Amino acid sequence: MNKSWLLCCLLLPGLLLAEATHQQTHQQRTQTELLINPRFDLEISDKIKEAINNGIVITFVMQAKLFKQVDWWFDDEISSKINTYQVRYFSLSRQYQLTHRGSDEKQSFVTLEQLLEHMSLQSQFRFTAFKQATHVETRFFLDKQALPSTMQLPTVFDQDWNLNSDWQRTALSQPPGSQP
Amino acid sequence: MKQLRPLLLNKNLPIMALLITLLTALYLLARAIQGAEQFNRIYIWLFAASVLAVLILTLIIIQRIVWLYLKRKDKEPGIQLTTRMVLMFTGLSLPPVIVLYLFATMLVNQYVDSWFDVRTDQALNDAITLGNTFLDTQTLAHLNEARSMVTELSEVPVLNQAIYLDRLLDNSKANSLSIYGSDGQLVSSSNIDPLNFVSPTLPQNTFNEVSNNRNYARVEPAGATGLQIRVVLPIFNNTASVGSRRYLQGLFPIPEEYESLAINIETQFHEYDKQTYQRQQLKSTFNIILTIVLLISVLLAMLRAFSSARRLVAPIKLLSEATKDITEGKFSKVIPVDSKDELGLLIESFNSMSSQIATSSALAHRAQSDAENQRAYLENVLSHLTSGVISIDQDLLIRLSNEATHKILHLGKHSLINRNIDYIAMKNPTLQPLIELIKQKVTDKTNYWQQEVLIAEDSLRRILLVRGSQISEQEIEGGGHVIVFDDQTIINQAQRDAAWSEVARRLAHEVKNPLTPIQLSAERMHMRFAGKLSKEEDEILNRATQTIVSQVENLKTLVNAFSDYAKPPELKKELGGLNQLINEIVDLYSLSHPGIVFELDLIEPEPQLLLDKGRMTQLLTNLIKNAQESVDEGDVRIAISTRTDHNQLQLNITDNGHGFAEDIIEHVFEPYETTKQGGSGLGLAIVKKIVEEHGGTIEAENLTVGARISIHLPLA
Repeated sequence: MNKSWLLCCLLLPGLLLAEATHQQTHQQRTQTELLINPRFDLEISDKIKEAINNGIVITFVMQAKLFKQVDWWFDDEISSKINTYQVRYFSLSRQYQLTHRGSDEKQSFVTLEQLLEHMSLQSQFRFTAFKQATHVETRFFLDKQALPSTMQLPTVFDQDWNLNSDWQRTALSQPPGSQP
Repeated sequence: MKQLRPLLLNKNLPIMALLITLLTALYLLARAIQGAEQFNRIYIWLFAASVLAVLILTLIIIQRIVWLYLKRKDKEPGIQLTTRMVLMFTGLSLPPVIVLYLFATMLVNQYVDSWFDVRTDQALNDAITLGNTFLDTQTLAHLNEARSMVTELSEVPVLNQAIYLDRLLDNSKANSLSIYGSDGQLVSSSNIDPLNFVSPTLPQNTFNEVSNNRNYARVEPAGATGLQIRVVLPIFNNTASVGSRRYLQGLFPIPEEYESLAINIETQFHEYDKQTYQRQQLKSTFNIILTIVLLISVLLAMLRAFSSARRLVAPIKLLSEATKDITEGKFSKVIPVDSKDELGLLIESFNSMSSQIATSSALAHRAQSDAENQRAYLENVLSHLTSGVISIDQDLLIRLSNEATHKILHLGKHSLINRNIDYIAMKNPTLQPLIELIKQKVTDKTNYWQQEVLIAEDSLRRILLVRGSQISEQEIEGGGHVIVFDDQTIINQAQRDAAWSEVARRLAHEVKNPLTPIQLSAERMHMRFAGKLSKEEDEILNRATQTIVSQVENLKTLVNAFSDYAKPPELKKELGGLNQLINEIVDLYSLSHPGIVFELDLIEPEPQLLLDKGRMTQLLTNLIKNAQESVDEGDVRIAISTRTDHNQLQLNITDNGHGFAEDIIEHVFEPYETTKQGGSGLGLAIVKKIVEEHGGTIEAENLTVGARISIHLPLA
């Protein structure tokens, strides 16, 4: 009994912490478009869940930047795109709604996990100007500045609210026959 | 560190940074109030700017404290007052701000808590439960309705299902009925409002659910704020294969009268729930902001305290510095008057006072300069006096003395000023009679007195003529006494010499005249009566006349000696040395008195002097004769030496005789001072006269064996 309690105490903080881990970035190249689909394994903390269940709208941002590598200097940014998602909970319907702010597309989910999984899988970036691009950098983060102002200060240094994957660099696969 | 000190204590740099930060915060605030979303976005930066302002203010205060510490270390004028005022101002400003802070914190906490109460919470929960129950009922009803539709559709051939869908829609409460294929693609759809027809979608997650033979019936958000009930059921068509399974989706609206109520309940519930959830964060945020406001207020108050203290203390510091300047004798400093308050009046008064002090000081300085000049003049005059002058006050402290005093009293160069009169006796105990006399006269308050004092210093006896005069208190504060003294020894000696010369001249004149008649009468008497008397009487006559003649000759010699002393022949000085004269006389004496041993030590080359050789021969003869006659028994040893000393020739004649009697050694050069039987007592007197005629000095002293005569003659 005591051992399991101790184990819970040791593991609980780790389980509760928010985490956005980059898994992979799918890329699909057509004649005119480059489709980038970054996958993030998202673990949100109980505090974030509690906030959502209490009607707080949480904004997640997925960002992708195309770069051209430059020797001995900073890489040249070719293009940048942002997908912003808002998650809200409806008490009457007891469902979670995911809204894509760009398209205003709404989808409802019974569980938050389903919503997060859907958000991770379905998030896609379309780049048209990608010819010279050598790599893509993606990241996922919880937009704290979109939180109500009363919540911003207490969450500044709160690790439970620090859902940030940092920039993940993925080299773009060159089309067959292209010069390396 | 010293190079960094101006940078560390630079006051403008942090103030500039603070102003920039506050202006940035103001700009952010102006942008933030343009909209709620904008406010949310800028809020955290606004807060960051405030925190930065607090940090800069803290740095400024630390800088001021360091400045205060360094100034206190340097003991800068006015810094103690600045410290006290800073502490006082800070102490005065802190309590109200802290009280206000505590009050505001408490008020906010209580006010925020008052927004929420259990009853409202419960009522809203009950309302939402009621809403849920209602919606569940609606959902169940629509599910059953959909089931009936599916039953009907299952009996309709697949190709006719699209047509049959319109009939079902007409008989149902659904807004839209759609049939989807087994791949989730829309097969057919019927909408209650064909004008606003939007092809309904089957969400992927819903399809995933129903594709597992499960019914889907849920309330879900519709549009921006609306609700709808989505029911999705598989259509089990008897004629269709499993792979071609279809799905019916019905979208049922919530009755309008209930929907608005339900949405209102949900909205209020969400708002309340959100506020309840944010209650603690709201309090934390308020507390953080209030803390920031408190810190900014306190730090600004402290900064203001520093500024005010420095401004208030600045004129006092200037006054302090100016006072220090005045104590150092700098009266020219004028403090600028910046204000017309009490401090301004004080500074004006100070400037007026320093101006008056400057004028008075200039006058005093001039008077002091005059007094110094007078004193220097007096000292100059006194230093040129040959008489010694001492001024003493009533406490017998010496206030004034001149150089002659030191020379006459043989005191060396010890300063006598502000020393007791006894100090003189302490330095030279032979002056005790003089000091006793002065003290007695001062005690007696004798107005004017004059007295000779005999000072006996080893082999030297000196006579001081001392004159004193009392200075009344009206003339000098505290009164005093002035004593003037002269060394009368030389004058007395000269007077004695003159007296002896007169005595000798008269004696020679009075005695010499009757001697020749006496001698002639005795010779005539011998010639007349010689051979005419009896043999016995003749013999008596011969002896008597010879005695008379010989004694007359002796008297003549004596009288001539007196005559020479009284009136010496005119000197015939010529340039020459003493060595030859000494050698000649020594040779003569060696021939005539072989028993005398001469030891000569004469300087070579011999120095040249202006001398009368005849008189100098007489001098040497007299001295050698005296030396020879001083030896009572045994060998006669006479040492004669010459050497130069301070532009003078020193001649020493030393014998091994009995020396001078102690009682006459001080008067040995005076006539008739002799220890020899039959001596005239004029030998050394004539020697001294010859020395003085040549501008020299002579001294006599006894040695352990014998005596020495030292003569100093000026070189040519």
